[in-house]
Formats: sequence, structure tokens, C-alpha cells
Amino acid sequence: MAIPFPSEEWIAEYKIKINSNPNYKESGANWEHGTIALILQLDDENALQKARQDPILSKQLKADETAVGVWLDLYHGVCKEAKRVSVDEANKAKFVISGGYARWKAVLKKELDPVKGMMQGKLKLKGDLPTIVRFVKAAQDLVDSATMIDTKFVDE
Amino acid sequence: MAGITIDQSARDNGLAAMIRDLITQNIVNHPERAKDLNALKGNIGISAGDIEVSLTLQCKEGNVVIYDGIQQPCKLLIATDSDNILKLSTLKIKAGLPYYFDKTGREIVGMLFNGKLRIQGLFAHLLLLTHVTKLFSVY
Repeated sequence: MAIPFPSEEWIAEYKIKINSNPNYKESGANWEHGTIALILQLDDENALQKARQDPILSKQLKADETAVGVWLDLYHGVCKEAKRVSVDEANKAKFVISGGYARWKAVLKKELDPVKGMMQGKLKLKGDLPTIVRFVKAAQDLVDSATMIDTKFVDE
Repeated sequence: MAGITIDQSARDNGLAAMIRDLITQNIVNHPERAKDLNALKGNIGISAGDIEVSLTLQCKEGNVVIYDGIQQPCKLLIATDSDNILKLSTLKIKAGLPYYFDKTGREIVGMLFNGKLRIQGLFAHLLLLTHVTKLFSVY
């Protein structure tokens, strides 16, 4: 069954997909550079309205919430923890990638390569760029893991 | 103190922010490369054709301003796909010079030969290219 994005259930499934992705296990094997957070800005009025009607997301979204953070604790090719966090919490991660709903949806549908998206200014990266450049393959495998989830987009 | 700033025209250019962060953080990690930043002079263009993103580093006395688009005249104009721009950053530096004899180095030389990477001004401004390569390298 498709899981609504970005629910807690979706994030739990994301952890499973990361840890069952042999490509990430290899490309992220030397990763010991800390946590990565993804910030999804709920900037699409239609999607936000539909999310508030979704039986799962409606229980998780706070009334005044304008963004959702996904916290990934990664170490040596393994995702030790994946959890939903506030934006303030997400911004404490060593690396933060943020973007609007439409951008993340395009990433999950493989319509937008995240690195190209960053170069185009569609996604923003905060953190030590030289480290990310050294681990571009791992970053791509992380995203690939997310695309393996049977995702329900609330606006579809 | 030398600095890198992004012109208003490149405010929404993600590559501009990445280049600024890359150079800034590289100098923090390798303080000796500040000399390479101070040695940059003139315009250096970078174009990622596949995503239609380009920018110009206008360099003068250690200060760099990044503009959106290609601002001629450029002493160096690096044109390639977005994936390859990051690959250029993975070129290793050995004995203070870019190292072209490992897998990454050979791939970059190969891209020059097969036209996937085009560098206008390569031979006329080889020293400038060396400084740029060192500032971009994450190693």
C-alpha cells in the first residue's frame, strides 16, 4: 500500500529502504560525517490542504506547521535512525537539504536529480560542500532509496 | 581579507552558491590555497549546458564576485555537463599541482579529448587554470 509523503510511516520505510540498498551500503561505507536532514517546505497550498485531509498526515501535521524535517543519522553505510523532526531541529544537522513540496516530489519521481537541482537553485544545501562532493554517489544512492518507496502524493 | 560574493544577478543561481561555498570551505580546510585565490585575475566562466546554468567569476586582487551568465571577455571558459563540474572538484592535488595520473585525472583528460569538457583559454592561461583547479579540488 502506498505511504503518504511525508508521514512518519514514510520516514520509517525510508530507513528500511536505505538499509536494504546495497549500493548505499557501499558508497556510504566511509561516511562518518554526521547527520543529514531533509527539510520539506509545505509551500504548495493545494498539497497542504490535501495533506490536512489525509487520514494519516492530518494526525501528524500541526496546525501552524509550514515545513517538515526528516532526520537521518547515517554512519558507515547504515541508517541508524530516521525520524520526523521540526525545522528547528532539522537545522541542527550537519548537512541540510531543503526544498519545496514540488521539488521533493520531482526528486522522488526521479524527474529531478538532486545535485542538478542544487545547481539550479531548486534545492538548497547547507553544510560542508567538499564533504558532499566526495560522497556524491552516496547522496545519489540515498535519494535512490527514497524513490524505492511506494509513495502516495496527497495532491494526486 | 579576500572574499567571494554573489552578485544580485546570481542570487537564484544554485551553482553560484555551491562554487562560493566550495572555495570558501576549501580555503578553511587548506589555508595555503588562499594564495591561489589571490592569484586569480580576470573573468572565469563556467557553463553547465545540460541544465542551462552558467556563471562568471570576476576576479580581482583576491576578491571574487560571481555573476549569473557568461560575462565576456573570459580568460577561461569551462563548459561541460553538471555531473562533470563536480567531477572536476574531485581532481587530486599532489605537490601543489593538479594530479592527472589517477582514475579521476585520466577521466578528466579523456573528457577534454572527447569534447565532453571544453576549456577555452586552456593553453593561454594554464597557470590560471591551475589556480582554479586547486580552489575547486576537495582533496
